[in-house]
Amino acid sequence: MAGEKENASPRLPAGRHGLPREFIVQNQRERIVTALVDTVAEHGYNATTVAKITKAAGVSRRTFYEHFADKEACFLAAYEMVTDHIAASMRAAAESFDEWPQQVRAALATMLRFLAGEPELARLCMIEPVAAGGEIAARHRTSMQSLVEILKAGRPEHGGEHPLPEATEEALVGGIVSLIVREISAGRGSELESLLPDLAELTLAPYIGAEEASRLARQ
Amino acid sequence: MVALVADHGYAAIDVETVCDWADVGPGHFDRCFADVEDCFLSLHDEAVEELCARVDAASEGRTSWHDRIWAAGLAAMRYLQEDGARARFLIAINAAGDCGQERRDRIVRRIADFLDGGRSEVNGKRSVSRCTAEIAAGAVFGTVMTKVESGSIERGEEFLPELIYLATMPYLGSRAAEDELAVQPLR
Repeated sequence: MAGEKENASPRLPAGRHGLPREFIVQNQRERIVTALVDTVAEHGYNATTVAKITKAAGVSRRTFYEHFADKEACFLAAYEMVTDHIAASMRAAAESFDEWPQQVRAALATMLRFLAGEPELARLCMIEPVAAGGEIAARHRTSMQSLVEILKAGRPEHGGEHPLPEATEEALVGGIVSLIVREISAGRGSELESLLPDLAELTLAPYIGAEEASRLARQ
Repeated sequence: MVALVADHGYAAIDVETVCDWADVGPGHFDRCFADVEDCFLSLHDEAVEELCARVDAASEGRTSWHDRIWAAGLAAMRYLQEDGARARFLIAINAAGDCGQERRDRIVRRIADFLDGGRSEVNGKRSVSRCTAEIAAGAVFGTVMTKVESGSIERGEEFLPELIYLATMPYLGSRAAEDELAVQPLR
């Protein structure tokens, strides 16, 4: 975790340590990724350089390039680690409920709790990808699809006369992400969990109706 | 600047590129702007003000919140359709670092201010918070950005009823908001 790299990934002892090569390689990779998280948290993605990452990780430039093609590849490795963890946690939280509305509420609660408790990682996976642009921004859009899929599973709940618009889920996820990004940018990331009732209500409303969504969201 | 950002993205632009394209010297650029970010944000602010003036003029005099939302949505859509390069320039704001993020938040807040007027339309025991307007505004902004990015803003009239449905549903309720989906594509 950012700010705790000594604990999370200790430097190897200098000289002939006799450790297996696989361990060394994995240890170096984790140290580099941890250093990227720290450096991006301090400087932002665009001002982060390979030199800053290698300095924070205590590895040479050569070692960095043995693991990653460039800064972008290193960022994507960190980003995927974090977003895979969030997506798995959201799925696990959702699976503990039988009814779709409760599944959505649980998934949202899990995401908000993680982001509120991990400010550096929240910034890394919610704010920096948009500023970075290019491949990173494209990967970010793809990763948001996990939330879209959870919402799409609620379409059979919709009892209205007209089918839901095709873009409903993408729009809802856009709204959720927009609010989270704004709160993190404004330094209110630790209060994200307080958004749950409003986020759940607006997200559920197209599927189960505004009144039922309001009731369930505020349970 | 507008054409360059629209075609190549904000991150690819530097002072030399702008000066070459505009056929001016770097000294002229320096007299007008502190740097590329200053130039981009100044022009972006101007475009946003122009868009807001268009939206305000269209919705002025409309007596109901519902009519104001439709008028504003149509005016904004047509502004974006008029000039594809300007629309792509407008959505490049996300790439402009913390200042860009601050500008983006400001735009979303302005949309939220508009939507928040719907609180007086809420019937029954429900109460709708300001937060709802901000989530709905983010949904509208994100959807429009995606449409501009993918080049489908040209078909804006087709998805405007869907956007209005999503934006008004928290206030009007699902059944009433569904009427928006029955609105024929506007030509």
